[in-house]
Amino acid sequence: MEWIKLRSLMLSSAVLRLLLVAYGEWQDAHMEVRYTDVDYLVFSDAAALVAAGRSPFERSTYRYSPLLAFLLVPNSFIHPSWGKILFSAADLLVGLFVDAICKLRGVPENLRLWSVAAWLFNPFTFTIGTRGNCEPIVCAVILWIILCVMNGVSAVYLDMHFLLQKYLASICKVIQAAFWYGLIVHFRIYPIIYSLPLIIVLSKQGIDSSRKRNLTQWSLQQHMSYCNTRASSKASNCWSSMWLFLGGILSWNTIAFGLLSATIFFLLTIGFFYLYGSEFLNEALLYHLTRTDPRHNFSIYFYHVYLHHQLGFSIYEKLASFLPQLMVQLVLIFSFADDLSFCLFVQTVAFVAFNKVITAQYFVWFFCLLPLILPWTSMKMKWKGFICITVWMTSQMHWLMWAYLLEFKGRNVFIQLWVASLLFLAANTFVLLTIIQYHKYSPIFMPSATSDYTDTKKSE
Amino acid sequence: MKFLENTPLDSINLFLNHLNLGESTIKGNLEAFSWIMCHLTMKNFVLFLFIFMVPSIPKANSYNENVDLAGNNSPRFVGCWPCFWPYLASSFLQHGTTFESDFHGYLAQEFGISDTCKGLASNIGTLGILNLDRKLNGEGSHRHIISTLRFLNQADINSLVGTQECEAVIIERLPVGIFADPFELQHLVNHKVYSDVAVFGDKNLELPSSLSNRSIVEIHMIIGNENSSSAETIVQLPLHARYPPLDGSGYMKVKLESPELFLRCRPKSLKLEPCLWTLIELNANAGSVKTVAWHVPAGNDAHRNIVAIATFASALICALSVFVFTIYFSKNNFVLVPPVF
Repeated sequence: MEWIKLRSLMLSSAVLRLLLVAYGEWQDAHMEVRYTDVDYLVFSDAAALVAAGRSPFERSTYRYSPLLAFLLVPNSFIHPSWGKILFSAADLLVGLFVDAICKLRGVPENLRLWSVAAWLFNPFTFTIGTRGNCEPIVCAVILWIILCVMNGVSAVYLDMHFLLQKYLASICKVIQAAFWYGLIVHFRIYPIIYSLPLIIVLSKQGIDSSRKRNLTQWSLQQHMSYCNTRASSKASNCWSSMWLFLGGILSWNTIAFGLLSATIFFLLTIGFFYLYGSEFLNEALLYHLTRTDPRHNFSIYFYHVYLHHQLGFSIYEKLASFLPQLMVQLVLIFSFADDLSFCLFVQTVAFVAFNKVITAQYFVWFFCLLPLILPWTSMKMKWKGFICITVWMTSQMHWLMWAYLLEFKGRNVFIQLWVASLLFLAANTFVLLTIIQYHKYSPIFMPSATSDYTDTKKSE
Repeated sequence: MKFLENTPLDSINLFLNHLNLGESTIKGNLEAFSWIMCHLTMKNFVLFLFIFMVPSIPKANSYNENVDLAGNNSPRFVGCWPCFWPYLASSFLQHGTTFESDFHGYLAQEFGISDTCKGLASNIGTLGILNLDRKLNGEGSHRHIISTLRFLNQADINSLVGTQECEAVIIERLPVGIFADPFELQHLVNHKVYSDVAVFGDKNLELPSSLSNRSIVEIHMIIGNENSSSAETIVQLPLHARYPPLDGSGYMKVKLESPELFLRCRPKSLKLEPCLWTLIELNANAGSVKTVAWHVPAGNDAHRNIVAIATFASALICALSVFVFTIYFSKNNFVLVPPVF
């Protein structure tokens, strides 16, 4: 029964996306303003170059992995919308994975469906895939990695996707997680921020022979009772606990994960460098690491970059913009790593908010993780949830208004736009802290059954 | 430079008019000849020798003299443009010239009067431009420069396009602060707004002005048709502003020069080899053409320090808030507690 509800959700989402892709084709052909994103045209041109046996980097502003161009090669001989269909399919896959992850953690059906709907029917989500943005693929891979880490062997899928269940049963392991992780860091650099929490969680898998770890299950009265006992065993010396921590994360799983993902990353980098030379390194890798774009974007740094562009940036300035980001990432990782989905979510929100360049497509990076934390929030839509959404959307609209005046009306509103970006950062911080406050911390793996913990497994 | 009228040249004119060399070629010869007449005292019979020696006169002379001789709005024959050569401006930059170089000088080098091509049957003098209107349409960073050409004699143009395939060739030399998006222009070609377009020079869409160079846009547009009653040809070029260098006033004034305008025609029905376009320069030097100015918002360097301080302070405050709040709310979760297996 529950499968039918999920199926109808998936079907209606698929139909919606197909309609949007078709509409997009019509709008492109008949209207001045295109529905398709400019980036999609860049990918398609690069894919056409690859199909002709040339380098995708001959296309100016192509700053992605050649893998993306390879994926879109059928654009040239099947249909130009092949890429959009692929991205929309990845979109639907994300919905499936959200359902799978929530199911593994025992989330009841209605909540699960809401979570899936929060992704599939988020207007931001369905426009981004149908407009030809490649982010849904990244999201699908990230969620697949989470699934693999959770070692998602589940009988639940017997009736639904026989092949998928067989696949999950046989090879969804740490090794696979490592492979996909190496691939996705090559594809999009930002998932590198997930390395530490993934390793911390994998270290909890332990070296015992049991392959199936106990996943903490969702429950109505979930409390942080699990955590209270840990407080009592807090180490008094910070440095000795640091050593213990470092020693703790070293295990066969984490070493294998680290080595394999690094190998995949370097193999791909070297392989494409061999194929396409330094153009690949500059455009696909170094550009993202050294990008200082003075053009206006949501980031608070844009005006500072524009004012200093001709003077250049000192090492102190570069450090100064990197330090807040680093500080926030570390504190979030060390606080929430055990609750993997939540950790990745807050990390991504913070990463996007404190980044030097923020564009609207970056929001998808945390939108795909949001459904995973919804079952564990005690925030109600009335009114805390509503306030968060309103604050975030309003600050965005406010920024967009000034950006519109600058770009489309030619008015000098740089200061106002910059202040709007500061307010957007403040809004992001507010929403992030509110979500943290109302989240029911829930590590994905239950601790081993030892004498210290037997009385904490039951929820009150 | 005098234009000699009642001279023994008249008889030569009559003779040459019966020579099937193409009218514009003859005119070029005559004007060069009259230049020589101004400065030499030769007997008439020697003039015939000069006519045949004209091809040895440097090409630049005749073309440049034409520029000086004719009136402001008269079109000038430039030369024969081979069909396989797609763009007029393509080798302008390859010749090691800068954007400030004389485009006319470049053309004079590329084309010579000795080129013979199936010229226009009618007098090219009737193909002149009455005026050229330039207008910058739109607001903000994305605008259109609209050039409206009104020909002297639209009826002549309409009858010309009956037998000839004619295109307007517009060469826009863009300053540093403005660029044209080649992909957007290609989209317009696909929608048949232009018959062809090309961008030369700095095509980077992302860098600010201080790191950019100038560019040239060459547009080919089919003009008129037999049934068209429109007296104007309108060329609309979408342009985008780059982030300008900082300016205390808050705006940077970017000037757009008037374009170089040409007309090229080739016979519709004849498919002769070699395939050649007849290229005519349309001069619109009349006072009606003014430089168009675009005011682009610019950052103010007076803001530099306050923006730097406030930006880093905000980032620090928000980061510290997240830090403190997270520690407070998750003091029981902190991972530095030794994990228990």
